[in-house]
Amino acid sequence: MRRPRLRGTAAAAVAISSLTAVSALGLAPTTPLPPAGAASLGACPLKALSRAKGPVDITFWESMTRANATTLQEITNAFNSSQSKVHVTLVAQAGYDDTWQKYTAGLSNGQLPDIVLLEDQRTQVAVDTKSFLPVQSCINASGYSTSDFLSRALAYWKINRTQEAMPFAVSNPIFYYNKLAFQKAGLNPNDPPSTLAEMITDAQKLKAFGSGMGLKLDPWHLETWLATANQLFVNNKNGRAARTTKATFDTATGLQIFTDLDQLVKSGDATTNPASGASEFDNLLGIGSGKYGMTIDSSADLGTISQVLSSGQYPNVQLGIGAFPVLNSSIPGGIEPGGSGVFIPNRVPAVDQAAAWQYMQWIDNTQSQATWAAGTGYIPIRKSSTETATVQHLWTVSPGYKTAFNQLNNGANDAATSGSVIGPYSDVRADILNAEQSMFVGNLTPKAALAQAESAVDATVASYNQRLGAS
Amino acid sequence: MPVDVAVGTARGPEPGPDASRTKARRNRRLHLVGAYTVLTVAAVVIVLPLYITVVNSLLEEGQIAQQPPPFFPIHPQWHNYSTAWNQGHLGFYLRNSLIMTAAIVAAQLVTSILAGYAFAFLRFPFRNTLFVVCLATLMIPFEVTFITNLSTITSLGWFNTYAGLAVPFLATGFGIFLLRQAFLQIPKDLQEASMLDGYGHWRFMTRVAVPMARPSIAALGVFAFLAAWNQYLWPLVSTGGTTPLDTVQIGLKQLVGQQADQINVALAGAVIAFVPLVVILVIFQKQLVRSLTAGAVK
Repeated sequence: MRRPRLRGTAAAAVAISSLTAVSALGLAPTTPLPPAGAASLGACPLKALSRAKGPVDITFWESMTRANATTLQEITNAFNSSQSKVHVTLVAQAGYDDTWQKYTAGLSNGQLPDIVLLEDQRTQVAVDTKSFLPVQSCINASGYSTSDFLSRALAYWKINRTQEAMPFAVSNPIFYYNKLAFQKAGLNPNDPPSTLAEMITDAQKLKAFGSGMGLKLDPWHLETWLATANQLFVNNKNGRAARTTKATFDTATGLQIFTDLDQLVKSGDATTNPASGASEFDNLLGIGSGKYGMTIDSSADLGTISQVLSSGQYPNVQLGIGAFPVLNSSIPGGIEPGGSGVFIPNRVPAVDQAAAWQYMQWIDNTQSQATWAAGTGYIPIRKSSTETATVQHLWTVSPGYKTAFNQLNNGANDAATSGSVIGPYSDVRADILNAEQSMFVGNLTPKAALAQAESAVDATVASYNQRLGAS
Repeated sequence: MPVDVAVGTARGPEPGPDASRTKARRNRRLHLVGAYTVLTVAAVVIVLPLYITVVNSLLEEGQIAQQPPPFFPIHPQWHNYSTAWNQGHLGFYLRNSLIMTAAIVAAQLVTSILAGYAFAFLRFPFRNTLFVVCLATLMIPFEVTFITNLSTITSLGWFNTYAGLAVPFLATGFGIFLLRQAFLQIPKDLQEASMLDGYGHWRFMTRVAVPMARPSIAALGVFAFLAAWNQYLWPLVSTGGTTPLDTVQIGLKQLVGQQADQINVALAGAVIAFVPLVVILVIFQKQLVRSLTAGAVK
């Protein structure tokens, strides 16, 4: 439903479970550092399905909610009735973290799904369990064309040119603002800020007229702004050419991002709220209550917030949507994708793996992605989906959705804009958040905070790699 | 109130019998006022979050974000509760939780009474060593053993069954320790007298020892109930398939996810899930307090 984010206590549990998963591999501490991507592709057992007699029943662990869950069920029902060979049952899980915990526990007793939806930051640790069939193998085996996909949406789940999973629910951060608050502050309501610097100036003006900015403490702010400036977050091409071993964000660009954020918060022009727990939606709710004139959040929240605001209880709000304010408009960077992808476990019967691939092709086809985008607010990941009547209608009714699609479709397609793959990703994000908070509430200078973040991330990554195999 | 008298006498030379009595009475009243003020503040601190939860669960959808937040539900939306109940399938989850919790509490009481009694009254080889082994289990966090437990219940065919949910928790080192200590408080003379009257161990345990240890047993029951009811990790990993036997805590998390934009409905679900806890606490409050203060005053 929304871009995944760090959850305080869950992160600790996840750390435990990722450790369990890694140790379940039985890697001796003396083995060399394993490659980032899958060591071998493994065979995609397409023949098993063509040989199967009766219908093959498979399960899909997903954690979609409300309208998103309904839409997924709709797409799945359509798949089930479109053919008689495969029947998919959706099994709802209570969130991405729970799904992963249950999956890693299932590795020990064989209670595994045939397809699982995992959030973006889990890609590397998922590959490290060696319990998934890289979908690249099925792409090759069935001669599946990926040329219609948005390049970065695919690249996000690719390590070393191997497609590990298929993108499914893809989102990215966009700019939400109240046009009436902009008007009141003397700003042009049809000209949202296009850079971070402009956003800071606008926040100041809004504050002078009683609102200001709501800033969710999302640890991926740093990554996103780096991507807009076409800068790498970690080494080895953001972990895609080889396994991540070091952070690379303690640079002039990183410093500018931290300095700007620090100024935004310390001046009081922006009020922060945590990205998890009871107040995780305060920045968006604040737009409704008039407390904030603008905020940044996932495009996946657009459907829900539009629905809430259109209930007629918020006469002082007229929602505007803008592109994510980039760091510097003269640098050709891009917005990295986020969201979740679908994985095929390789420990389930061969026929189930082939059936899962069959279903994946369905949920990522042109019409399914159009239906999915219209029903949820996620970005259609196929260019052809945007030409369907479904998406064209959606974009006419709420142009905000087009903004999210455009910023993923436009811009540079390279390692820096494809996001990173890091084993202990949630811990890395926690490190960055810690440093940001010491800067906002403590007396750490942006320079010191950035250095602290970088060394903490280095230590976290080193510790993970050491557990995985000597580095 | 012995404390008041102590304060009264500590005030240097007595001015006279009458004056001192009035002063003592005034002191006592001051103390009462002070005590009630502190207690009131403490009660407000503890009750306020619960109150806000209940109020918010009765608000309309749009009122949640209102500034300042409403302190009273002017138009209580009782249907939030039926929405939470129906959309969250709370009936199913509550049933699972109740069955699991009842099995765990009943079994823990039985095993702890038997083992606690044995450690307190029976003489057998390696008694102290075995007791230390029981205590040592308290130091092993559940996260360490859950993978092994999971393999065990799966190979027994108990994955996604009530047996699988409850069996790993039927005995606890904590319960054995608590009841052994309670049984040790019972004078040895009493046991000898009962034995002389022809009571065997079984009759002495059921007729004398257990009734005397009632506060501790009730406390163990309540603790076991709270722990079992609030479990999350185990019910999460030990259930699955297409219809997982999830407990109410997991159901609640699913409801919160589903109602991310309807916090009022999610809170109504939370209120429903904590009602059984409140009922248990109210029923056993006396025993709990007695067990906490047992042995404090001789």
